[in-house]
Order: sequence, then structure tokens, then C-alpha cells
Amino acid sequence: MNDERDPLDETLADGLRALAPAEFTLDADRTLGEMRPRLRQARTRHRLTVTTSVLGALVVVVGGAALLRSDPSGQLDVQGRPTPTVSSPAPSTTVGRSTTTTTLPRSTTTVPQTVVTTPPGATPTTSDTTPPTSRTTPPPPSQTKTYTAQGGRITIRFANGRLTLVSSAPSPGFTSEVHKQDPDDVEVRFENGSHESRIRVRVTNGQLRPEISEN
Amino acid sequence: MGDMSEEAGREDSRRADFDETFRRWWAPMVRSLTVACGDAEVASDCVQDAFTRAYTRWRRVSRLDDPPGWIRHVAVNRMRDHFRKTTRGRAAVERLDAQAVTTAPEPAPPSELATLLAQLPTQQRIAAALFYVEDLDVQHVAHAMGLSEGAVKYHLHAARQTLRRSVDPQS
Repeated sequence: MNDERDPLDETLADGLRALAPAEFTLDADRTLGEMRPRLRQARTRHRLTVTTSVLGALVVVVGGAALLRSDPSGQLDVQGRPTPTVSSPAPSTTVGRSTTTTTLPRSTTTVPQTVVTTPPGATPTTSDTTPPTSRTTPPPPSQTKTYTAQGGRITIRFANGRLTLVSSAPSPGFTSEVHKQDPDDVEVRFENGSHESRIRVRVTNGQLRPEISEN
Repeated sequence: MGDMSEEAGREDSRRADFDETFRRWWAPMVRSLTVACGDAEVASDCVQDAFTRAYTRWRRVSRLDDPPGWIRHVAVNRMRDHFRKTTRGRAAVERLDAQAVTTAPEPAPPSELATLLAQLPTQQRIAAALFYVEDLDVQHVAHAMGLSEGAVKYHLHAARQTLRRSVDPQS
């Protein structure tokens, strides 16, 4: 069956066309006039549908972005960075003292925090508090405490006789500096140029011994 | 202000373009689909639905290579939907085994060609209507039906074999 038509095709075409409504009975102008209201309604409905779809997609995108931004901690995850290995406490030298320093602008209202990950050896056992700022480690069954000084605050976890710095958060205008991070001795200093706060937590006889000094 | 008047001008132009397409193609499509489905009212509804869909997205449809082909394709699909619904409805009535008393007068006996046409499967009937009544070539019939040209040729060949009995009963 090709596009070429033979006499039989012409006969069939004539016969089938006779079954169709006559041309003069089909008034396109009149039908188009009758359809005008329906066409306008359909177009309005179509535009409404398209607009609604676009707005819906926009809401999903904006909502998703807002959810992502709504994490209140503003944490800086430093998971995977090497822990400090130099333990020299000499105040006259800065070599090896700092592992992470965060500077907070004075105008900022949300306090960013530096999260220090749990060393692999610190296996949690029990927990009496939930770390308020840690999201990189699961809530461990361990003892977690937060100490606050004028220049900032730190959160430490104590589990299996080992001390772990969970987070340090400087107050507005202060910078934080992890001065020491040993299993039994953690010290963080906060400084803003004219004032220095030190928070040191040591383990003595299985007990936490915090020291907070302001200078 | 100038942008608004330009947009209004383009809108008028699009509307005129749509009107022209409607005037040119509405009647031929209704005629061929009437032969395909056997009901002028259903055919007219299907074609009007297709034009309405085209109108709502005319900016895009008018840029296609073959806007009437797009409209015809939509209309044929609408008609197929109608076939499905009526087939289901008829089957339901038959299952009820209702022996309705016919009070309407008997319609005039159909021509032999109409009888043979009504016996054709749907695809063959649509292909024959578009090919013979609207005088489309195989390519356009294939586009309207959403089939390959080979499939259309098969349906046309089968339809022709059946319909030719109206001309040559010995065939």
C-alpha cells in the first residue's frame, strides 16, 4: 500500500467521502465563535496550572534551601584533620600550639563553633547528657560537660577515662585556640586582643578538674 | 508601555494564526473522523478538544513543523479514548443481557460500503478515513495515528482488501 492511488482507491475515496458530513454543513466560523468562551477558559486554566506548578517548584526549592540554612549551630566540621601532636606549653612560642582558630565578627549574632571529632580510641559507654553541638559523632553513652568563660565556651566528653574536646565556641569578637588536647588534659584559650580567657580541664584520679581563668 | 503594546500585537498575531488554522483544517478533520468513528457529533467534539488544547499552548504548537498534524494527532487520540469508553459501556450492557424494547424507527439501511467500514477494526478504520477522506499521505496518517509508516501501510492494505468487496463482491 503506497501513496500512489489506483482507480479502486479513487472509487473507495468517493464512497467514503459520501459517508462524511457535507462540507457546507460544517461552518468553521460559527463553530469558532461558539468556542471562544471555552478557549478563553481553557487558556486561563492552563496558565493557572502552569503558574501553580512553577510556584510549587519554587516553594520546594526555597523551602529546601531554608531547611539547609536553618541548622542553628553553624558548625565548622573539622573531621579528619590531624589532632595536635606538639604538647609544648611554652607561652613564648606558637609552634604547634594551634590546631583550629575561628575568628568571629562582632556583628555576628550566631556563634559558630569548632567541632573536634572524637578520636578513634574513644569508645563511648554511657551518656547522661547529649552533646548540644556535635553532629559528626553519634550521641555517645558518656559524660559530656560544657564550661563557659567570658571569651567563649567549650564542650568536652569524658568516656573510658579519656577526655575529648567536642566543641569550642568563641564569644563575639574572640578567637579560639585549642592549646592542648590530650586524653587527660584539654585547654582552650579565647582572645580578643585585650582579654584572654582560658578553660582547662584535666583528669585527676578519674575525676574532671576544670580551671577557668580570665586575664 | 512599548513592550506591552508589542506583546499585545504578538498576541493578536497568534490569535489570527490560530483562527486561520482552525478555518482551514477543522472541517476536513471532522469529516475524516466522522467516517472513522461513525458519529459526526463525537468527531466534532474530538476535533474541538484538540483545537482547544492547541489554543492553550499555541505559542509552542505554532512553531512545530506541522501544527495541523499535532492537532490531528490529539484528535485521533481523543477518538480512541471515546472508542475505549463506548466499548466498555457496550460490554457492560451486554453483560446485563438487557433486551431493550426499541421504539425508535429503524434507520435507513446503510450502504454496503458503510457496513463493511463498520466491520473494520478501529486502526484500519482510522487509517482508511484519514487516507481516503482527508486525502493524507501515509506519512501524515502515521503521524496522526502515532504509528510507523509500515504499520499504516499494513492497516490500509487490510482495510482496502475488505472495502473492495463493496465494489467487487467476488473479490
